[in-house]
Amino acid sequence: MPTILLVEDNDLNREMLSRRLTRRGFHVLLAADGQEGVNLARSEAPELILMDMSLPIKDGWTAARELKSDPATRGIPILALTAHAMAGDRDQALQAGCDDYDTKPIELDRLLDKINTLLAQRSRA
Amino acid sequence: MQAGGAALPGSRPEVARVRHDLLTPINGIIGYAGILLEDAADLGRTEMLAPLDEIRSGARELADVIRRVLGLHVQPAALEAALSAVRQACLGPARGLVASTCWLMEEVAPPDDAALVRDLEQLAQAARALAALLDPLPDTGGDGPS
Repeated sequence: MPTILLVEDNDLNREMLSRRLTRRGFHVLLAADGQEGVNLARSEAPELILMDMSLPIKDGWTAARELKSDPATRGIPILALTAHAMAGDRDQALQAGCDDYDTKPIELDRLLDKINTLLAQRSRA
Repeated sequence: MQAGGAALPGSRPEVARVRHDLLTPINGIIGYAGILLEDAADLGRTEMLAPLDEIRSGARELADVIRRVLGLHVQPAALEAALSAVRQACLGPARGLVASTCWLMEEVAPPDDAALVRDLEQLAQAARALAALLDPLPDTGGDGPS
């Protein structure tokens, strides 16, 4: 059962997505801000991180940079989640170290495809 | 929104912030409608499927409107008109989502199924949050989005 760390500040959306992922067979860890996400990534070493980018305390771009600069966590794929859909946002997320990018509102099938692709890439690495 | 949004080179932070704020409850509506569709199907509550699907479709349409009207093309000087257009196009449908969800909760869902009722309450909460964000947007009385 792959472990996914979900970093999302909106309570309702965090619970909702956690439940949907749990139903699909994932073990889900939850963080409500970027700093908590970094801390949990370091202590729990999840297989993948779903990172909202607009977060309190430490935003997702900063958290992703920190995790990707730390040898202990740089191998964890980060999938950026954001309501931003502007041209260049994908590049911004990738430049911060995120491995892929998806936009809200989340379409679960599309998100699961991306999660499974990243998990497969990680298992081959 | 945190500094991450403001740090995006070439972005228009105010437009991005409003779009983010509006799409967040829509994400909740779509997600909880998805959960409820799965549960209603599993429980054989087929009378709930069409209304829930309409709620989810309605939320997706609102997301499309918001992305289209509050897109890259919006210049700062045109922001108020764009926000007014979003309000005009979305507030009524958002209130409709609240009403549909409450109707489902009160008239259709089995009152003894606490899990279904709880998730409908979450869905209604997201729809109310969306309407509450739309209501204070400027109302200039102009034409809606094309």
